[in-house]
Amino acid sequence: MIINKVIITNFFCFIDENPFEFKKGLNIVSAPNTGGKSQLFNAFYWTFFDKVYLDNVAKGKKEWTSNSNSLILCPDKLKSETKEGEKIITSVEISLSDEFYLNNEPQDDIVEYLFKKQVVYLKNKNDVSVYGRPELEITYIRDGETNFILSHNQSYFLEKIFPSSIRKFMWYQGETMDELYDFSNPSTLKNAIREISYFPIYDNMEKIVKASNLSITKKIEKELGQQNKLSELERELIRNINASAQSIENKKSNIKDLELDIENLRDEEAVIQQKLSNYDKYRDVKEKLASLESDLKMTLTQISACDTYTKETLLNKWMLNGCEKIINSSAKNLNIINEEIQAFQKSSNPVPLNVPGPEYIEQMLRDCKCYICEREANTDTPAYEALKRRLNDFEKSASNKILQENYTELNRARRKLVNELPEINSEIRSEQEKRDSLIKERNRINKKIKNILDEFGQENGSIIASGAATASQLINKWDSIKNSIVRKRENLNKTHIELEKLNDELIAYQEKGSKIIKNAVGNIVEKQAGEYITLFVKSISKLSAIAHAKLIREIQDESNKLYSLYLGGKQQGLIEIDRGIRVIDKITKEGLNDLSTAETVARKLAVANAFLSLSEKKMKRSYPIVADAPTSDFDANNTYNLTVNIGDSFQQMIIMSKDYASFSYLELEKLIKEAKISKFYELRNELIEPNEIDSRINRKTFIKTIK
Amino acid sequence: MKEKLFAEINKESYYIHYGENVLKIRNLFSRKQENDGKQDDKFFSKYWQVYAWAAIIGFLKDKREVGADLNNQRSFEFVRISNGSEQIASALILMAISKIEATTSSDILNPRKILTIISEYAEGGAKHILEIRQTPGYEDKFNNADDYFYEISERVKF
Repeated sequence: MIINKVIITNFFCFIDENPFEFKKGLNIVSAPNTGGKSQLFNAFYWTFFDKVYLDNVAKGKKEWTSNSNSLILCPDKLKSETKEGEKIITSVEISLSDEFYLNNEPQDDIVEYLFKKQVVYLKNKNDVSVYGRPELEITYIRDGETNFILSHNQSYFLEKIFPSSIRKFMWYQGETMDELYDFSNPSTLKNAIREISYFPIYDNMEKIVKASNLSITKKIEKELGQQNKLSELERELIRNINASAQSIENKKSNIKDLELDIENLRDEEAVIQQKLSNYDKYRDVKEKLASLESDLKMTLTQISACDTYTKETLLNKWMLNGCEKIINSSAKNLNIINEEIQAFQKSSNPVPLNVPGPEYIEQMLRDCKCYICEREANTDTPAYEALKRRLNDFEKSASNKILQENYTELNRARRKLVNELPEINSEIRSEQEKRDSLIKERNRINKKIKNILDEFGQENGSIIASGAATASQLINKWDSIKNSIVRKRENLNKTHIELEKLNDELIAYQEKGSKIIKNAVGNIVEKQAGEYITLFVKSISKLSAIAHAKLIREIQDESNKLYSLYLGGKQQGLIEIDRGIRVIDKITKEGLNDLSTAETVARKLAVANAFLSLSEKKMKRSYPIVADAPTSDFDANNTYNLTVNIGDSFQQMIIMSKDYASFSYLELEKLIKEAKISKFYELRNELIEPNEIDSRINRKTFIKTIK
Repeated sequence: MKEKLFAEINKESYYIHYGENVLKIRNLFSRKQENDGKQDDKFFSKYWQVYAWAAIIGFLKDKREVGADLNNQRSFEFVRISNGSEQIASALILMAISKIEATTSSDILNPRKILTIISEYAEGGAKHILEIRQTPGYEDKFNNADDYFYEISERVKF
């Protein structure tokens, strides 16, 4: 495949038509930062895969954005200067040459495919909106006729020419390299191998010969059965062999299904982790907010309780504040009562009051007779008057008793109030201080809550709450997926163990069976066929293992070749591909962990490019590499080495980089010659009207063809 | 007197009699009895509370409406005050006792007399409060809970 031409029209910083021609070999697009090279990369990616790599302002980093139906990709100048009601057309045309596909199979014919993606925008009063959805048109000319690839076939076609398992290696985005492919995941290696080699054929052959083996064994059994050459026990043994073989196939199929399920779950897990990285912060914030809100609620409850207590105490006690003086002055009148009490007690009759009691005195007064001295006590006599006085004493005594009780009660109340009332002021102060402290605490918590919300630019916590809810949902989903992975792995292990047992069982049956069949079979044709097939089964398995090991070695060797090229022969170790990919020391074979960034990038670049390089060699299928900022972590020396050495690795490479902008004109001339660069473009994002204000609406990318 | 003063004065027959000024501040600051239990913006929830408060103000400011017409006579009994706050009930009685020009105990231990003295001071206190609210700038005095706390805490300065 060769990319021939790209025409970018009204796409980000490219205003009007901007053509680029590319050739076989090394093509360089040099631009400083903001020059437009990343937008050139986006032009490819948007056309083929409907994705662009853009800044996410909220997150402060770039990320892949799909669903370009809603994205506005036209230049700021046109957004600003187009009149209301007028339309803006943004388009990218890419022409590339590749094998013609007939019935999904590549032919030796080479055709030129033209990809044209276009979107129309409408200028409104203050903004621009999508008017016509982005549409991709794919055409090719064959036998003098223009043919269209219909829209429902387009994704299938794109998968054919850019298989997704190695697509990532072709479209190299320096900043997202680790996101694009993860070689610590074995399935990445396995999928890539499928695309770059004929290795999958071994899998197919193994399936075919095993199925044949099963089939021929059944035929032998049937034949023997018809010839009645086998006893019931022997027939049963053959049935067991067949059953075991079938069970083994079923187990293998289960294993494949489980492995696929686990891969899919891991992919799902990765997606959720990616999503969660956007929401995790909401969960933390929500937890903080929840804790603060709980503290606030408690503080408000305490304030309310304080207010209730204050009011109740005011109404029941505190309103007497300051009254102790007046209350105490009642002592003067209480003393009058006390004096009366004392006076009565002094003048008491020495004869006890209960002798005789008041009832007797009343009786004596009624009878006009004193029962003590047994004399008459007629009315108006001294004796009668004496009895009356005695009765009066009882009444006075009773009154005095009440007086005494009153005095005691009133005095006690007075003393109690006089003791307690002076404390009221300090009680009020203490309660006030407690309330002030709670108010301060309430304000402190409110301020903390406000700070958190302000940090998020939220006026209330509803977005945080919904973000946290989403995070919780994602976490729950993640947990569920993790549990599923664990269960599937357990199941997988169990199935492997069962498979091993079945294999052992089958071997034992087959040993017994082969003797029987050997003796019984005689010269039937199926017997010979079965022997050949058995041989095939053993051979194919062995060949498959050998081919796999060889392929891995080839990838490793190719990787190391490119690794050395990219670092100008100054690499620290060797790339080893085992279960993962790492760099090991040449002598000790220990893993090296302290590689520089350039070495790490060079390693990943070398492995990725090795896949494409081998694909070209083995499958005669070449893919171009379109790389945005592959040398972003390299110094000038490494950049130079990489450029000189990379061109020969591939049929076509298009590199977009800022690192050539620092080279002088002479250095560039030297590089173009030494690296046999086919095309060299320089992009600069400059003012359209130099005398006007420096703003995005007065800027565009200018293209200069150096070679 | 055949019974103790406190027992006598707390009998159900001893209704508090109060005058027009107390009635006015009762309407201003106290929740109506029929609204008891409901929320409103009045500071006092019981009639006895506003009466007792007015009486205390009267005692402290020495504002007594001697011979005032206390024609509101069936509103509540003194026992309500005792049940609400024994301290306040005792204090009112003692403050009234301190104001009696007495020579004998019978001058002092007269429940109706004591209640009349308390009511006269309540009437004086209520009048004083109403006068404050007629002062420019103080029209809303005692509309807010804070005013009561302020008045109480300002009585005794250290």
